[in-house]
Amino acid sequence: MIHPTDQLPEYAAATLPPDVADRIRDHLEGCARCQAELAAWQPVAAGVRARVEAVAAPSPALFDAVRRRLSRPAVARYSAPLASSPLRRAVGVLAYQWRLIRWPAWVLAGLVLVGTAAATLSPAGADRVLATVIPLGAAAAIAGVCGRGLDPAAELIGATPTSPRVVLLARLTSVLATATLGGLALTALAVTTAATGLGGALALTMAWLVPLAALSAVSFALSVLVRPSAGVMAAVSAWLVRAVSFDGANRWLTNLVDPLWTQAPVVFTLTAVVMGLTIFLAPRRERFRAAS
Amino acid sequence: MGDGDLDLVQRIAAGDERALECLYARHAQSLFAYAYHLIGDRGAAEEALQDTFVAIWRGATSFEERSTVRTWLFGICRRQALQRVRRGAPAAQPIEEVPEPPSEDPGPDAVVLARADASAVAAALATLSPIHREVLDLTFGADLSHAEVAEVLGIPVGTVKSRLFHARAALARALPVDTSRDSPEGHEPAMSSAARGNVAASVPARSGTRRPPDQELK
Repeated sequence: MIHPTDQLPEYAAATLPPDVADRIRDHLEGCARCQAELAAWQPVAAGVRARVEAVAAPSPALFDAVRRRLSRPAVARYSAPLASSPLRRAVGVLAYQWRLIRWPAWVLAGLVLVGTAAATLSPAGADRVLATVIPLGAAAAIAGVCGRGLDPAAELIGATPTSPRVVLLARLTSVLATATLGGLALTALAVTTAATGLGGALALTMAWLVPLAALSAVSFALSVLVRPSAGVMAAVSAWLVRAVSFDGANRWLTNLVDPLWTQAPVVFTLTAVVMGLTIFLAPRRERFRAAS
Repeated sequence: MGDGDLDLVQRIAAGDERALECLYARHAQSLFAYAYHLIGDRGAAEEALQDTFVAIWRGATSFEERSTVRTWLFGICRRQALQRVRRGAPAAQPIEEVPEPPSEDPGPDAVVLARADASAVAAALATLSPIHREVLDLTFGADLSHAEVAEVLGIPVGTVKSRLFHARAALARALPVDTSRDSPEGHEPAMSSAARGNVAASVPARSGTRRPPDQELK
């Protein structure tokens, strides 16, 4: 015979659906063990209720205080209206992340874009300019937008059932999409001025897209799981090693970081794995922190 | 009542202040008691309750019905309350979580508890560790199911069940030993026959409405 021992607390609390409660009541009729078990829960339930009832009601003015705070401008909401289509909700979640970015970030991004565009036009080699600026910019932006402990709205997101993973994914998507679109625009600019043709355009795109993926993954994982400064430091270090190795003097340094800039299939695969793992681990990491 | 809550949250999402007031009238008391028992300070508990309802107002648009409204409310309230607990947050307490499925026979704690009255149990509750008290508060004070408690605490349902049994054992240990009614174990069933006759009939099932808090089981 299977005793409903686990469900007896819920039975004593009367929180079971009626059909389950009926089944347990039938079982109790003929089972002394479960009756004794239930008899041990009932004083617990009564004691907890007595303790809850002993708490005097909160001040009657409390809801007025709540109401006064409602009129203040609300922090950006993080999800589209209820019962909308998944696509609209996705667009909503994405769009709401943009409101968190303050104006200095936009000004800085604009300056970097203009500066890079100007540098791309010089004959020095558009591929090097793009391959250094875009990945580093994206890595820094990811650390700033997705990093742990930086979020002014973290508590609010925590208080809503929109999964923190979804919010994190939305932010990562925003930064990567922006960086990729910016990179493509600059590539188009460089290709049209230099008239390199399709093959050249593809090579130029890969020259920045591969390190963009590599540095973004490094920055994302460390910023979310450790702290934003760790993400920025790691990305800048990889970037510096690459910059130092440009003259080819230091063979082993070049060999160390070169794959991050050149091995497209490996880098893209690893990036997807690292980012997926990070998104999976992020909420667990928070819980672990809260518990320790 | 559950449907009513959902309707209220949808109206709150549309910006209806009166719906928020209704939701407050329905749940403020039990949320407040929960927060008060987590924090142990009325002023801080009132602040937590205030912040909870402001968070509900702002977050209602993103309520996705993955949980019941009541679970959502207690989850928010818990976060707000724990922010105000400087030390001794339930999650930080040492846990005696040796997996210990309920044994075949009701243990000695069942015998002790079956004899205890509500006021003695309420007094003993105050001496429990927060982690044990909270699971009892959510189960019997907030009237949440095991699954709902699991969601609020962010732990598996199995852990809720085992934690409940641990909490009960700790509660039994915390109860003063009542020697006047003590009898040799094994000679007498844990309950009087009158109590036994009551057991099956006395517990009302949840029939669409929650039991008002003042309606006792005995």
